Amino acid sequence: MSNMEEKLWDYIDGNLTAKEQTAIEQLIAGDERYRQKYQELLTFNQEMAAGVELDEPHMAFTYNVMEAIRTEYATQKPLKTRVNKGLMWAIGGFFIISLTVMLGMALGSIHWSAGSHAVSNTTPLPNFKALLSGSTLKVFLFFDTVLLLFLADGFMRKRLLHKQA
Amino acid sequence: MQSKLSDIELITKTMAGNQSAYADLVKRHQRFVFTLAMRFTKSREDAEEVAQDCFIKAYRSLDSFKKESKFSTWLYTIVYTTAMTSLRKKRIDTASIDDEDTHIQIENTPSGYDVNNAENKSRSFYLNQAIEQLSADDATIITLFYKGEQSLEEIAQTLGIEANSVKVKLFRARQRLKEKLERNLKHEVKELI
Repeated sequence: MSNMEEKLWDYIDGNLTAKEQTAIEQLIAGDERYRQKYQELLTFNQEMAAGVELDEPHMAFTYNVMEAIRTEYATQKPLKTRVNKGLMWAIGGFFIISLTVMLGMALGSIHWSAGSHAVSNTTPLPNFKALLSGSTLKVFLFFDTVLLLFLADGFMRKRLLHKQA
Repeated sequence: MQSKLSDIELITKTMAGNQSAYADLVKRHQRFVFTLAMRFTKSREDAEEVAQDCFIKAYRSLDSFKKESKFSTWLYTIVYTTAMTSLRKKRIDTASIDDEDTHIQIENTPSGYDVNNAENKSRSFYLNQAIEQLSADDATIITLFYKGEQSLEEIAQTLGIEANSVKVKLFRARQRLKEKLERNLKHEVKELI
């Protein structure tokens, strides 16, 4: 029974190849059982296609969805706009400068002639002691402080917005 | 008069920052999304919550929508997963198509018909009532196929299963629906007599 029904449903849904379709058509035309079942399923299928109803949500549904989206995006902007490119460059620059300074200091503190084999240090290293003089260090620390304040400000703003939400 | 914009056009406008375009999309799909949610939650309040959640999720991830498939198929996938998650959270037993216990439970559900108004009820009413009595899986497949204008392949994509499995599930769902409809109508006739 189910095999016949399965075939007929495939026929009604249009899931068959042309050859299979012809075979079913012949069965419907020649077999009374098939014909009756086909009519029954066809009627049922038409009833479902026309009779299945969709439920209607509350009248304010669209408004509620849009309000929820607006609220969410008022407090939390998309990631793309939240990231300040200038700040990212500043942080990146800071790390590059820090690494360069540290590398320079490390290289400057090496005693190149301390080994058993004399290393000819033909490339003169920059005078890092001069670079780390009072004024350079002050500029460096000032830059650090500004960055720190910048980050603290961003953090506090975010917290404030979160509290307000 | 402005012609009706397609889903893809509305999405493009939304992504350009036009929120009213998204409101139009919501209006267009809300009935279907809500109906699908109802199939799972069986309660209007919960269904509205799930449906709203789906539209917000869809808005958040609009940029991940590949315009190769239909927006509705993509949206129904969100609805299906959200509704399933919601069900799991509420620890409601989601009956699978092959779950005979649930089948029996549904069969024993009182019809709740108003006998006095029986003659006014159309066959469509009984059909929708029978769908409500089906398991969430059966009802979802029937709804997607007949009202969602979804092919077997698209339903398979939404449910995350093979198209052949959808075909089998649809076949069984139809059989169960037919049985239920016949039983409900017989019951109704008996009540009238």
